[in-house]
Amino acid sequence: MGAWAQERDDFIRAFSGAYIFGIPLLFTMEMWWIGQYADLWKLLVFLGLAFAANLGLTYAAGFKRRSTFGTTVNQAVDAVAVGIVAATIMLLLLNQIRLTEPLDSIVGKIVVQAVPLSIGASVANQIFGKRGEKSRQGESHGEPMGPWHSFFSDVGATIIGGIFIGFSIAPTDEVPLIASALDYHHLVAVIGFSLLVSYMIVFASGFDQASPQGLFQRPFTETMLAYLVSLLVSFLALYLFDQIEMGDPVLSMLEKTLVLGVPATVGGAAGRLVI
Amino acid sequence: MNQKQTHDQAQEERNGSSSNQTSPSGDKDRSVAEWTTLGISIAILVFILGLTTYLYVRGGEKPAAILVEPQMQELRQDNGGYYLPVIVRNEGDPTVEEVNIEAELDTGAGEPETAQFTVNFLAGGEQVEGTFVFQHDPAEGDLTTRVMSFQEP
Repeated sequence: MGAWAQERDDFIRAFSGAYIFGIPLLFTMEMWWIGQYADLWKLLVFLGLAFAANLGLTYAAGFKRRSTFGTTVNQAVDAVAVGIVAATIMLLLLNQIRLTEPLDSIVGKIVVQAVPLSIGASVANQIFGKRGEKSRQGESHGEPMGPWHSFFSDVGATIIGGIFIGFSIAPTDEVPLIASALDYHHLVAVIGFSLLVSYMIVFASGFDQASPQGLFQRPFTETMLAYLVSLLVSFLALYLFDQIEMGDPVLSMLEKTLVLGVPATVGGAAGRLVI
Repeated sequence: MNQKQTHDQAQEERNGSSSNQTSPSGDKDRSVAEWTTLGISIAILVFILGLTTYLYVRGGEKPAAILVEPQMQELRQDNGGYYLPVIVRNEGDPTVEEVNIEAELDTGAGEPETAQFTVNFLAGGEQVEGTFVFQHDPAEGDLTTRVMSFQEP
């Protein structure tokens, strides 16, 4: 594998880990508020903390393979940068940072979220490394599953993972709050992003190593199907938690489902890795 | 020979084309790709650190001052009411909570009409839009808008 492909894989892993670990906090309005009115010196402390935590974590479990002092620092820097970029993307997507806002409020929101996200990036290797590969390999080494068996096992994992993360966010006020703040462009971006993250996580699990069989075993179909399953989980969760009621405007139902679809998709993709 | 060549090629690919294998430093096998991503990462970190530090140093502790600007040109009539959008802006530095905005409309006939709304959060320099709804046409009366109260978190 070329050096660029290696870097690409490392960063895809890091971003996937960041979102799996940090998605509940990205959907927490208190985090947005803390970022909005935190004293600026506290933001510097947050950045320092993120870097220190990542140095420690990288020492124990980095997202790259080698570990010398130089690469440890390198990975910690990369992890914090991934945290910052991942936070910026998600906050823009959820329309929680706007260009009309004062600069310190934008920076604050990003820095506060970058802490958990960067930690997620650092533990990415733990999530996707040996364990993830083992579970994929286990699938292909053991009794070979029939296409339908492996299809249903992947759908089941997607549902369980989606419920695991989706149900912890579905009852919160953030879902209608975010949904109401999204316009058409944001909705399209939310769909695109959900698909991309789902694909990234599947990809990061070392997809190409698994034996291709069944509908869920092709990256593109797996991504599309997983997204539809995740949206269904989101809709059901919202309905069960009374966030959606029959007779609501269709657009409002759709918006909320798509918003909850982001964490549900991330959870679903993570579920397929673990199970 | 062929095998050895492919092995060497693979080795070189892993290490990146510009790596210097005889370098005594610990970074000897860091590839161009790694240097590039590290450079981008450092740039992002330095940017955020620099921005935060700049904002911190620039500081400024101008106390909160709330400005209310009725947008008369956007006034519209609907469902028997007059909808008047207003912009509420915090001209100070600290964030304020629970900002209560009130408007009073005196058309000369009967009691003056009042309308109010609350802004939950208003960061320093931030502006939000709200709407007052009146029974009478604000363009035809004497309109006063004011901030009644706010909390500092």
